[in-house]
Amino acid sequence: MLFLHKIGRIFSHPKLLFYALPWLMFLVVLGTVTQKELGLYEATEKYFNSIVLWLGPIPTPGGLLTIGIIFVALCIKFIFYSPWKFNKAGTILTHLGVLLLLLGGIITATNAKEGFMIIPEGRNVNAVSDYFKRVLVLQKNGKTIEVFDFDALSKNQTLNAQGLEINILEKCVNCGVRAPTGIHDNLEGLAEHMEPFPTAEEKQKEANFSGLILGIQAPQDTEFGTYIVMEDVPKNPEFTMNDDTLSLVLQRQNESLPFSITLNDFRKIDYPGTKKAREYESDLVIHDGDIAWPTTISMNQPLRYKGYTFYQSSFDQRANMEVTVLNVVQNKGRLFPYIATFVIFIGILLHLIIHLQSRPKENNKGNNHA
Amino acid sequence: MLKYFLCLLLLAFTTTPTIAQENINLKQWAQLPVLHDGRIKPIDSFAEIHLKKLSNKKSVVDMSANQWLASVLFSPEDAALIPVFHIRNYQSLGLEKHNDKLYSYIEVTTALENQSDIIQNLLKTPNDTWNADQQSLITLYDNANIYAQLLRSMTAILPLNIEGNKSYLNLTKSNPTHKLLNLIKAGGTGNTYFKIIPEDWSDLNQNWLSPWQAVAVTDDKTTAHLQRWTSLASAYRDDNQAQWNDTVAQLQEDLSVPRLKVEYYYNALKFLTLAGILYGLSFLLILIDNIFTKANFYKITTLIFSFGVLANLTDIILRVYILQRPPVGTLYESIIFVALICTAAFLFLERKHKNQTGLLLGSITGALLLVTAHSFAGEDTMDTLVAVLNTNFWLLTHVICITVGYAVCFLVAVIAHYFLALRAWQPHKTQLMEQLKQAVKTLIILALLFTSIGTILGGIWADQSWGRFWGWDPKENGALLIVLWLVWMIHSKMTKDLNELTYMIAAGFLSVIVVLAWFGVNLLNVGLHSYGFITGVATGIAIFCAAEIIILGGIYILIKKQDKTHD
Repeated sequence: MLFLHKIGRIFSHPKLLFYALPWLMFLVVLGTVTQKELGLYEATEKYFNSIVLWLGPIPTPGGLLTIGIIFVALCIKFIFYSPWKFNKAGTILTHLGVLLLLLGGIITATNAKEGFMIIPEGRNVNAVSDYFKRVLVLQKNGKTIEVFDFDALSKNQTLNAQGLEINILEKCVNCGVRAPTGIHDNLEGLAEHMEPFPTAEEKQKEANFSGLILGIQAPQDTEFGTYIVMEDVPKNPEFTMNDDTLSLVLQRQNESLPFSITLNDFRKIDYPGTKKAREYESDLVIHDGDIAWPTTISMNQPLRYKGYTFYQSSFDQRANMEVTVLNVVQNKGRLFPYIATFVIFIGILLHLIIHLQSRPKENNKGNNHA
Repeated sequence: MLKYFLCLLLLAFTTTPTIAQENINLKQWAQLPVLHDGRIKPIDSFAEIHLKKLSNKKSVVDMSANQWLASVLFSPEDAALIPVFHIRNYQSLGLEKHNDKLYSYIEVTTALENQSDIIQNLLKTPNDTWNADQQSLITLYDNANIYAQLLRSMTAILPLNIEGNKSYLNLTKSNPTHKLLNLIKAGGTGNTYFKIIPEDWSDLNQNWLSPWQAVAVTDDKTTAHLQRWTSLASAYRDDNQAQWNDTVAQLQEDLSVPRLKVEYYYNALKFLTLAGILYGLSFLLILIDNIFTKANFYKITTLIFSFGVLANLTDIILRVYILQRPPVGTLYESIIFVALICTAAFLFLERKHKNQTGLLLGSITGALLLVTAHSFAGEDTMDTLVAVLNTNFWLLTHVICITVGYAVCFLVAVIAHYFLALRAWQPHKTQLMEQLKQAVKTLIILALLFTSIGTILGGIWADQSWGRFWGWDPKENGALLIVLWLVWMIHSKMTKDLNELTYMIAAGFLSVIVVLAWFGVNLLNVGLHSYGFITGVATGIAIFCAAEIIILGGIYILIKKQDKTHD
């Protein structure tokens, strides 16, 4: 017990911050200035979402570990070693606010899901696409029957599904496209015209253009054919077996919503006489069961429904069609920052008032002039 | 290059006025509305912005911005000869040396024609691959195009050298089959820059039309309005003040936007320049008072400084009224707002302690910040905001909160610098140092209040508009850095890991942290806060940071040495 108490004392001592905060500041600076080179995602993963950060051969605490230590220390301090006196009320409340904020951060980091929806005008969509995750989908007569995680696939791996033998001949997370080089034989479909090859990944992961070169043998075929599947490219490998059509599609991982959304109208409202946007707006209709109702999403005005929040994220205006892109987030930790702001505000304000009241009264007589 | 030809063609048709426009008073005319860059502004602002854009000056050849614009609009054949383009690398364009480096439209277009192949090739390459000279060449090309648009703005209604000096507009009515009409029309069509006539008179927030666009509109109000501009042009060219005044009054009656009058006076009175001068003057008086004569300038200095704060405040209030939005939406506005908070706080401290400290520190801080703001001003300080910023609620809460946070951090840093200077060179002023120390301790808590709440509110805003509370965006990280620095100072003071001296050094260093968070992160050119991006300030920031490190480090070593000697 005494040992635990000692550990607790050391952990909850503000001296910990004397070392932890400069380290965190160092990480923040590094994680910020390297964004230009690494991109936001890579820099965030390396400096902020990491347990260990390797500085050359030296292992150092990563951002997640540093913040984790501060969080645990603050928890111990708050629960076991808070001086429960009125003159410390501001400090205690502020600490509580910071704890709530970090707790919200943990819940968000572990639970929040983010994706996007692309809705053309007049169309009804009920699935959210993942920004990062891709899946190879086997469809039978247009219906999904098997799903393979793209990240888990590797070159030379063999998949067996519905009588198809599928060899992964090449995998590219971000593909370049060239004319067929002759490495592969028996080119079929799109593979007769183009060949994807791996290129450097994009700084923004969602901008990657993934693809696979597959060697596929259907039961009725005598030899493997070489096919390609690529994201957002419609011409996919198809096979007819027992009057069924099997097809392979590479796409973003989709999650179905318990309701669907129709885009009635998208508007980009410009400042008069310019092309500079003043506002982006999407007129939507939400269909949930038998009920349908209209709503409008605009910048800073998201729609919240059944735990999902929909944000105006992007758009595409073409001559004959307008498309809205909505960012979709499910986050159970969403309310924490709101509560934390309030608690921290009251906490620091109280601390300031108590500080001002306890300050030694100044004697203004006989001032020193500047 | 066709544009230049068409422009010159139109100029060739226009007649030359016989006398100079000595009698024309442009004051009322300069308050008429024009839609430019998405905002309805007075002609006065339009003229200032464009003259600054082209010449980097507020007047050329003894002409004010309004006189220059009037000449461009109503007497374009003269305006094409006014030296208005500021060109540094005139040799590379084959231009003769002019001491003021100003060149006329005619000179510039001749020079640009010789460079046309280079320009066309450059325009096919991405602009981030251009060097400084190439960038200047393209800027000059763009500016020449704008000037060409401006020179042609009124050519639909100016008298032409054909059929008894009729204008194009009158000629289309009296002789619609005239053989030159199509040629003239080709020179004017596509001229959409000078938008002075609303497309929809019942809703001024819709698009506006230029005279060449309005020629094609048949509704009575637009036709009558265009006719008044014709009358105005003829009054200008005849130097007829009475006709000019009457027509301007009629135009004002057609289109009344009360805000524009305020903006005209805002431009004319230049409250911010006044504030800067008053801050600088206060600083000089304090110096004279203390160093040279020991004269008692205290009251007059306090008065001058107070007027400086008042002028700073007036400037911001007028901007709020003119722009119809909260005071801080751009980097420039954040600087003048921080200047106001700092100087007002120092004035408050001065009223409390009456020992010249507030005046001294306030005048330096105010003057330096306003000089910085001036360097960030650009051509137009009242630009429209990008869509995500176009929300009064968040501009009022997050932006104001974080900007006040920056201001309080600056207060802390300035006071800490003064404390350290006293500690190094006038250590006997113990009572004053104690006051400063107390002020720093209190203000650090206040700074933490505003920066932390401001930062979290920023996160909530991001949650509202982008769907995530925190994204490690450079601007967010900058704000976080300030909060962490303040938290570190407060806790390390408590554990005595920072003593009085190192605590004050850390407080002084807050200036570097704030400058990096405020301006530095914008240099990275990444992230979602792309509206605040700036270029060309890296050197300034680097010099500031290096200077601060040398100053604070130097003072630290000096005080340590002194302490050792005393021991």
